[in-house]
Amino acid sequence: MQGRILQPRGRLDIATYTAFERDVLAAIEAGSPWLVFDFSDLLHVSSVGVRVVMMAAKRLRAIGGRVAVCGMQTPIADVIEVSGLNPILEIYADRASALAALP
Amino acid sequence: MTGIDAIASFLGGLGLFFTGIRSLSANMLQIGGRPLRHAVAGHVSNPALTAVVGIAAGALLQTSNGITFILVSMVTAGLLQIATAMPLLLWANLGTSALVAVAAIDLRLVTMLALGISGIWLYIDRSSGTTRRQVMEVVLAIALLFLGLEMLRAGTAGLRTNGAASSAMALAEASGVGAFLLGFVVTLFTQSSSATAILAVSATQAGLLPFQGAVLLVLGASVGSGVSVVLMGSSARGSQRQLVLFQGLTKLLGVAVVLPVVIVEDLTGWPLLLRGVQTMAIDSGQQLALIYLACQIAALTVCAIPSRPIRRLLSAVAPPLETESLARPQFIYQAAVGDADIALILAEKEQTRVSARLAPALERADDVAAGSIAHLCAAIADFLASIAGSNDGAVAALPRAMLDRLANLQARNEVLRSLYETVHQMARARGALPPGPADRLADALAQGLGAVLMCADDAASSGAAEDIALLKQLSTDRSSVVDALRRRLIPEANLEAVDRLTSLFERAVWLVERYALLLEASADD
Repeated sequence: MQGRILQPRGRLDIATYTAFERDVLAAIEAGSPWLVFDFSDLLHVSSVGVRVVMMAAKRLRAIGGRVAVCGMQTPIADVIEVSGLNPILEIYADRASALAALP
Repeated sequence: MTGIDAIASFLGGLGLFFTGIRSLSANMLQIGGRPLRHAVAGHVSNPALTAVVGIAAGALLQTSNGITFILVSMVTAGLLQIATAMPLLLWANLGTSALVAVAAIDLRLVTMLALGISGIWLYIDRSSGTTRRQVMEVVLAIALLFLGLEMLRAGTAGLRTNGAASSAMALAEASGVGAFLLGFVVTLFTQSSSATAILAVSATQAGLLPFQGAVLLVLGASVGSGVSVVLMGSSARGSQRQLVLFQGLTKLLGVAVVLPVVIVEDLTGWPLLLRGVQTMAIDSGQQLALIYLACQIAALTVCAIPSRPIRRLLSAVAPPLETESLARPQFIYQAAVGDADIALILAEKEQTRVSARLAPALERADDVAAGSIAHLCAAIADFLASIAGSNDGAVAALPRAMLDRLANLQARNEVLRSLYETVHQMARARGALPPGPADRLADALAQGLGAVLMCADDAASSGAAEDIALLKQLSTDRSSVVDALRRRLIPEANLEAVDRLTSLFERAVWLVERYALLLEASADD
């Protein structure tokens, strides 16, 4: 089973997170063993967006899966770091590095 | 008495009457407001005592509108449920009949004695603000009120043939609708149906107003009082508005019952209400006082029997505000304390209402919502203390495991209370920052912490081990992360607001960690 790459764009906030959450849940329920969140086109992430990443990490880790994040711009990286997710996620500079590290 | 004497006596009496009744209400609210609040808070669970407290409040304070707004304040402060305030208000309306009944009695001798004693006392006693002085001011107000009525009675006798002021009464005499409207308009001005009823009693006793016209004037006054309280409380919202509308509705329904009876009796000649009061009292003023009383009893009966539909109607017209609903416990109730096992489950569910509000509290500093949450936490703490038996000093006979769970919930309650307060302070500090680097730091802290708080709510709601484990991981010490962020974003690191914001953030994370450990301990048990 192949993993999935998800690349939200613009703002990930209360107005947009439901579509992102739907995609994440669909990927997990389809049995993806890993997920890569490519945040290179993401300009702003709010708490609800971070929560979706947390939820994905929790559910995939429970079944031995992996979650990677790549391409984070500084404001996004700051929020992720402040939320305490850094030790839980695999963080890469870009998509190629992330894909190289995943099976 | 010449025409000018009659007008002077009428106006002087009216002035004394209004001064007396306003002073009476103001002083009684000062003296009786606090005891009323204590009496209400202490006795509201007992219907008989509710009736006694309500009648006493109405009789002593003589302002059902004033009592309405005392109860509105108590409901707003969470000291009283609206369902309890409603019957209190009904009984208070009945209590206001007391002064109308007393006004129908000839009290000239007592009035002069009271005026003399209180006037001399207040001249000699130079103290200010003491209860003794306030009591004497109440006595003086009552004396002025009755002296005013005496002058009114004397003046109205002269006005029967003289003066433009008699034209209003002539209108009342000629037309039932005119009398009703006169009572309505005068009460909009006096804001007290009992005051208008007392004026009608005096006018009837002086022979200025026919009895049937006076009855309609009293009924109009009751509607005027209802409209006046709704106008005065037009800015009220939620439960406050429900109570104000209830008082208005009460007055309207009382008249809706009595007025048709009066009209039918007038048209058919059947012996109904008017004949009934005539057999109970000879004096027309006393008969009118009984009509006023009948109106309050009718309102009490009509509103007390179908109280549920009325409450549903008021809830639909003026739904409770979100913050009111927030402050009101939805799961815990005092009777549940007897079954500790169930009571602890209810308390835990109530706590999830607090945890669910943590992340939204970061978005905007809402002082009203913060007050509601503080009130809810206090209610949960009281409930848990009742389970422990610590409220009455008794030692709870609970099994060890249940005592551990109780202690855990008490600790969680305190952490949640502190956490909400910290998050609220953080939202305030964030709101005060100007746009710029500090604002960007604040946004990163708020978004990151918001996600952690949502995770805390998930863990509290599910109690699942993996949710609690994730929360523990997310709530590790962040001081080095925050410090690095601050140094990078804010060169002048000693900025006071930023320091405050970051220390609040670190405290919040520390509290979340404590919360996670308590959830873990509870799950292990």
